[in-house]
Amino acid sequence: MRRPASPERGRSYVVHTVRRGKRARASDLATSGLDRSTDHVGLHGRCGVTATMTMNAVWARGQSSEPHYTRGMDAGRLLVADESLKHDARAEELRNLASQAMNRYAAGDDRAFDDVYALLAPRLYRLCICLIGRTDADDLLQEVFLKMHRARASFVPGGSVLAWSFAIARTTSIDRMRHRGRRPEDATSNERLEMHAGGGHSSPEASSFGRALEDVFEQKLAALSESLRSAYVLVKMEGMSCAEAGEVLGASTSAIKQRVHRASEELKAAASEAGW
Amino acid sequence: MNSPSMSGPKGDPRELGGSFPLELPPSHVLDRLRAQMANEPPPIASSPSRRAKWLALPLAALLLLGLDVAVRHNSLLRADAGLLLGVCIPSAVAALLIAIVTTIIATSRGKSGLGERVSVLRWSALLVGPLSVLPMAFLVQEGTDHGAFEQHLDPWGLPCFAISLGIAAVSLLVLVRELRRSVPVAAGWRAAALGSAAGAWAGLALLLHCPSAEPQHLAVGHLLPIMLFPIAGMWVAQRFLRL
Repeated sequence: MRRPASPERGRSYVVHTVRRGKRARASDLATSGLDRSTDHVGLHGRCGVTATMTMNAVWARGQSSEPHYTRGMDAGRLLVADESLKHDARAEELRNLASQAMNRYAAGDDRAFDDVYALLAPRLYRLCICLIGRTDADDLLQEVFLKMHRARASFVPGGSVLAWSFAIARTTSIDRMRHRGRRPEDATSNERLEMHAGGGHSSPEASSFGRALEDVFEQKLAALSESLRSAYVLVKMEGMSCAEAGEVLGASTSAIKQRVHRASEELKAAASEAGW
Repeated sequence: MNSPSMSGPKGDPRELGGSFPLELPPSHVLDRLRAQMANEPPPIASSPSRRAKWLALPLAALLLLGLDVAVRHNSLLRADAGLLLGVCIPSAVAALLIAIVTTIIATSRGKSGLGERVSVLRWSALLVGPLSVLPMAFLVQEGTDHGAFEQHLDPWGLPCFAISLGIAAVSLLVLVRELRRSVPVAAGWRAAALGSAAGAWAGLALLLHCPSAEPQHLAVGHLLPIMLFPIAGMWVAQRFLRL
């Protein structure tokens, strides 16, 4: 978590706002000097982890390069003001490492499985939780890695192992939900409690007021159609580009943009209905 | 195998991307996974490389054209007809192009290894039937001078229908084997596209084999199997494509 030394005008940033003792609102953007008219405001959350309001904000053009997030936020604080991770060089390097490990694994080097698992399991586990819920996420993750193991010889050398594994996870989750005839929102209340208890990343601020938003977010996300949910999770929560998500979902980039937009709108509407 | 550490080979996978915190899956997942992997058979043999596939397609096209020339100039090769049969070249070229393009679309893995998008596969499956009317239209327009031979042809083309089904089934089997359990995206439409490619190859084979230019014969014996095989592919082949 870091703040950019000098935010560039007109560039996109991911901003997490948390107001101490109060619920974060979209109006916080205005009080922090951001241009709301050009902002895309979206809600993000994750099962069992800090759920706060997240805003993809665009620094107001024509204003000074002073970091505006320090202004007007005396009632709270800004947790993160970070550049989008989509173009993070370190993330790219690690993606390449994962692909190289998968190439070795596909070529018959069984020892490379350790590297593949170490690099991919956290990402895949998070995706599994988002796609199917925490209770079934373990089994889904296991099935996904087993399928990757069986199909490792068909992995295209030089291909994106992240996209390949995400595609396997998504189709496997669809099969599992179809087989059980249920959607992820059918999680029991115990499961939901377990989700909350499982999140070890909650800050005191977030836990004080973030849970209600998290509930709204989880319920609405799970109630979305599979195509909208998958697109939203891959782009907004996994940080994939629309083109990469399009490959995973077999759709065009514009279709992914539309799905993410519709999902964001529905999530925002749900949050508004809940009084956020 | 050593237990994989969170730090991975060189870096922390928490940095692998995404906007939200990561957590390690429970350790029992890895334990169960290793137990299952120990009982797994060796992996399925790697599919032919893309280069080999790209070389195979023009070679197959050249082979077909060579056969066409041989058939046209040697009546002995048409023992069933007992006479020299000509082939309408524009029809053969159009059918060959349709077969090659649909095969490339259906079997392409792309740079990412995830194949063509659903929309491309869908159009391939849906358009191959209407497009296959084109070579037949060339044939009908040109007509044939095999009057004596055509008297022996079934007016509804039922033998051709049966032959076409057989050829398309074999083609589909070969194409499905090529992609079996390797592409995790859009198994249904990919299977339909494979079916359309199989139907297109069957259509080309019949075009070379059967000289009929009767619309009724062509519609039932030649075109109907091409129309049916995308459906057959989606219905039957997708279960073999699913990862």
